[in-house]
Amino acid sequence: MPGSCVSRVSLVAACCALLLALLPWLADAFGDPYLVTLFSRILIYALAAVSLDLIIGYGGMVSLGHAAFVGSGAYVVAILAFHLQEGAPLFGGFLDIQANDQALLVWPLAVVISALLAALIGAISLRTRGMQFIMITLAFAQMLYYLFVSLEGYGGDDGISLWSRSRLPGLDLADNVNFYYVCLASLLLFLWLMRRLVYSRFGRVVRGTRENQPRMESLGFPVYRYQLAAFTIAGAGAGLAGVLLANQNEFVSPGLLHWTHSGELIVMVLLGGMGTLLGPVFGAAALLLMEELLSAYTEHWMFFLGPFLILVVLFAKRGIYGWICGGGDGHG
Amino acid sequence: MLLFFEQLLNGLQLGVMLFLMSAGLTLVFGIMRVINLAHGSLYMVGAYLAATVSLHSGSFLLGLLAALLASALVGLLMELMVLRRLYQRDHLDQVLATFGLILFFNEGVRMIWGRQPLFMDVPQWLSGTVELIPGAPYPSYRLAIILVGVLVALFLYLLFNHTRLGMRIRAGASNREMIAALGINIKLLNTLVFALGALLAGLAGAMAGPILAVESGMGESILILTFVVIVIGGVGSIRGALVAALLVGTVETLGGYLLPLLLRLFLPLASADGAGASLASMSVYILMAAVLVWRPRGLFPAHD
Amino acid sequence: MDEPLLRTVALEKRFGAVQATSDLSLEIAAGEVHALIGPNGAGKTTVIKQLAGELAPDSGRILLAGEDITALPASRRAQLGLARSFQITSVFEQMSVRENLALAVQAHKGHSFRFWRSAARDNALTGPTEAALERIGLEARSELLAANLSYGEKRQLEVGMALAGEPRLLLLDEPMAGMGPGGTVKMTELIQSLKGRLTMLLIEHDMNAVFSLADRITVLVYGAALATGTPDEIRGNAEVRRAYLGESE
Repeated sequence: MPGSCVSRVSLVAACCALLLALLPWLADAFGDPYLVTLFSRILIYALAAVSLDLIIGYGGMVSLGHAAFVGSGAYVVAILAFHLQEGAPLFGGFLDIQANDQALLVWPLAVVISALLAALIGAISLRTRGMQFIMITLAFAQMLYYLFVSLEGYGGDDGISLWSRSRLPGLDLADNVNFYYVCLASLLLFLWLMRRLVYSRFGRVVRGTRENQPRMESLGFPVYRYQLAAFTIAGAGAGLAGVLLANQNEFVSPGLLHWTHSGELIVMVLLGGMGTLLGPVFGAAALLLMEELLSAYTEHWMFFLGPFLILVVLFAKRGIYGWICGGGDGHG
Repeated sequence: MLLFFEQLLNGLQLGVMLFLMSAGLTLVFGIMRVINLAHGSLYMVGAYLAATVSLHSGSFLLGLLAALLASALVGLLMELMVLRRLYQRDHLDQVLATFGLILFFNEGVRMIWGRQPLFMDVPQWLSGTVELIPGAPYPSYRLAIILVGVLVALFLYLLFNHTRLGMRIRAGASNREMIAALGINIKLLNTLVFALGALLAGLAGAMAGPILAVESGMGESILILTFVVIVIGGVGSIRGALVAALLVGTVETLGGYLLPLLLRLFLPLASADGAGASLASMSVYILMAAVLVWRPRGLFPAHD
Repeated sequence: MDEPLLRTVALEKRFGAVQATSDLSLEIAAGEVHALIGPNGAGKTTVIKQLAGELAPDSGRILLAGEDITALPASRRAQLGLARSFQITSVFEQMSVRENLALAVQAHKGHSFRFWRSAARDNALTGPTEAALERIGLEARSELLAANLSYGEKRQLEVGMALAGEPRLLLLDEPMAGMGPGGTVKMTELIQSLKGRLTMLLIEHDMNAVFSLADRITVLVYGAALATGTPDEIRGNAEVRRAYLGESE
C-alpha cells in the first residue's frame, strides 16, 4: 500500500476521531442535541458494517443476511427486558433463566447468542459458494425475520418497546451523552480487535481464501472451518451492534432483521471501501448522513439513492477509502 | 379432508407462481452468472400495470396484456442500461446495483400510485367456483392460475427441447463457453433470455393482482421464496425450478395448516397454534437447509 | 522393493463419455523425479488433480507411503506432505511475495486459529519464510505485491510456495509453461537443485527438460499408461515413438 495513502487515511481518521470525541460538546454548542442521537446511530451501524466487512471484504463471502445477527442481538436484550417488565417467566418457566436488564450480563449473552446463530447458519450456507451463498444467507435471515413476525407473544410485527436502557454499574445509560460514549468505545474496541485479527495468522488465512480457495486447500488449509470462524466472529460483532441499537431506540421490531437492512449494511461497506478497516465506518456515516439530508428535502429519497448506488458500482468501485487514498494509487 | 384438499390446491397455485418467477431467473443466473435482486420489481410492475389498466378499461385481459408488455419492456431496459454492464463484475457489485434498482422501483411505484395498496378484482368470468370434488368448491380464478402454469411449463418444455434457440439457451445455462464456441450472438441471447424472464415475472405479478394486495415491496416477499426455489432446484435448471417450486409452494401452504394441527396433539391449544405458526413460517427454509446438507448444489445441478 | 512413496492402484476417472484415466497404476519411488508425459488431452492434469484431492476418482486407490489417502480432502493430503504447483499460475496477487511464502509455511507450522498475534512477527514463520525466499532467489522482490512480478517470477514463487511446506512429494504441473528460454533454464536449475532431496512428479511439455531431469518417465495416452521406464528406455520404445514422439511410419 502506497505510503501517501496510509498517511492520508491516518490524517482523516485522526480528524474524525477528534470530531467524534468532541461531538457532545459540539452538539451542545450548536444547541442541537439530536446530533448526539444521530451519531450514536452512525457509530452503531459502523460497528455492524465493520463486522460485515470481515466476511465480505476480507473473506470474500458475500452474505446478504447480516441484519439477522444485528436483530437477534437486539431481540435478546428486548426479550430479557420484556420479561422483567411483565414479570412473566422466560420460556414458560421451563428453564431457570432470570429476566434481566444488567448490561454486564445481558450484553455478552446477546453477543454469544448472535454468534451461535451465525455459526449455525454459516455451517449450512458455507457448503455453497458464490450465487447460492448469497441467496441462502438471504433466505435464512428472512426465515428469522418471519419467525419474529410470528412470535405474537413478543409483539409480532409491532415489536417490543423497552421501558429503559440496560443498566451498567457506575454509568447512567439513560443519559444520551453517556450512551454515545459507550457506542464510541464499542466501535473503537471492535476496530482494534479487527485490526489484530486481520493481520494475525487467522486473518491471513481468511484473506488468502478470498483470493484463491483451491490454492489454500492445496497448501493444506481446511478453509471451511476458518471461513466458519470468520462468519461467527462477524455475527458476534453484528450482535453487539444489535445490543446497542436496541438500547439506543428502546424499541425492537422484526424490521431490524429485514433483508433490506442487510442490503443497507452491504451498501455501507461498499460505499466506504471494502477490505479496509475504516472504510465501512466512512460508509456508514456517509449513508446515514445522506439519508438524513435527502429526507429533509423529499420523502422519496430512496428514488434517488437507488440510481446513485448503481453509479457508485459502475464508476467508483473503491469507495470513500479509495477516494481519500487518491485516484492514482491503484489498489492496496 | 376437504380442507386439506383445498390447501393442497392452494399450494399448487403458489407453486405455479414461484415457477413463473424462478424459471426465468434461474436461466439468468445460469447463463449470465449475474445475480439479479430486482426480478421481484418486474413482478411488481406487472401487478401494478394489470391493476391499473384493468381498473380503467374494465377488461382483465387488457390489463394482463399491458402487464406483459410493460414488464418485458422494463426488463429489456434494465438489461440494456444496467445489467449488461455487470456480467463481468463480481457478485457483490451485482448485488449492490440491483439492490439500487429495487430501491428505485419501490419508491418510484410509491410516487406514482401512492402508499395505499391497490386492490384488483377477479374478472367476472372467473369469479365463480368449480367443484373438483363434490362438496369442495374451489375458486375458478385460482384454478385458472394453475392451468396457466401448466401451459407455461409445457411451452418452456417445447421451447427448450424442440427448438434450436431453446436448446442453445439450455446449452448456455450448463456451459457458457459452449455458446461462444457455437458462434452465437451472446449479447442478443442474453437480452432475449432476460426479456423472457421479465415477461414471466410480469405474468406472475398480473395474476397475483386479484389475490394479493398490490403494493410497493410486494416483489421482495416472493423474490426470497424464488431464491429458495432456485437453490433447492439447482441454479440454471428449469426442471429443478419446476420441481422445487411445487415442493416449496406445497410445504409453505400445507405447513401453515398442518403444523398447528399436529402440535395440538402434544401441546395446549394456544401454544400449539403459536408454535405451529412459528414453525410453519420456517418450514421452507428448513426444507432448503435439509436439501443443501444432502445435495449442496441443489436437486438438479445444471453446472459441472 | 520398498513400498513406493506414492502408489496408485487401478485408478479410473470418466467425464461422461470420455475416459480421462484408465486403469492407471503408477509407482513413484522415494527420491526419484518421475515425469508424466503424453499428448494433449492424455489426462495428465486429471491424474494430478486426483492425486492432490481436487477430483475424486471413480474407482481405484491412492496410497501415500502405504497409507490409503483416496478419501482424504486436499488440505489433509497437503498436511501429509503432498504439495503441488498449478499449471495456471496461482499465487496470491494481493499479498506480498514474502506473505505468499509465509502463508505456505504457516500451513505446516502449527494451526492457524491464532487471532491475536501479528503473523508478520511470528518467529515460527519468519525463519522458514526467509529460507524459502532465498531458495527461489526473490529476496530483493520480497515486499512487492505478487501481482507486480513478471510471469517467470510468478512461476518461481508458485514452486517456492509448494516447497515452503517441506513436502515429501511435489506434484509439478507444467512448471515451465509459458516461460521464455531464460526462465526455463532457471526453473530447470531449481528442480535440479532439489533432486535427491525431494520426490517429484513432473508434468512437462518441454522434452529437453523432461529427459534431462527425470529418473523415470511414464507415457500416458488416452488416460492409460503406455510405458514406464528410464529416459533411455522410453526413447528406445517403439510403441512410444509411434504413439507420441511423432515418428511417422
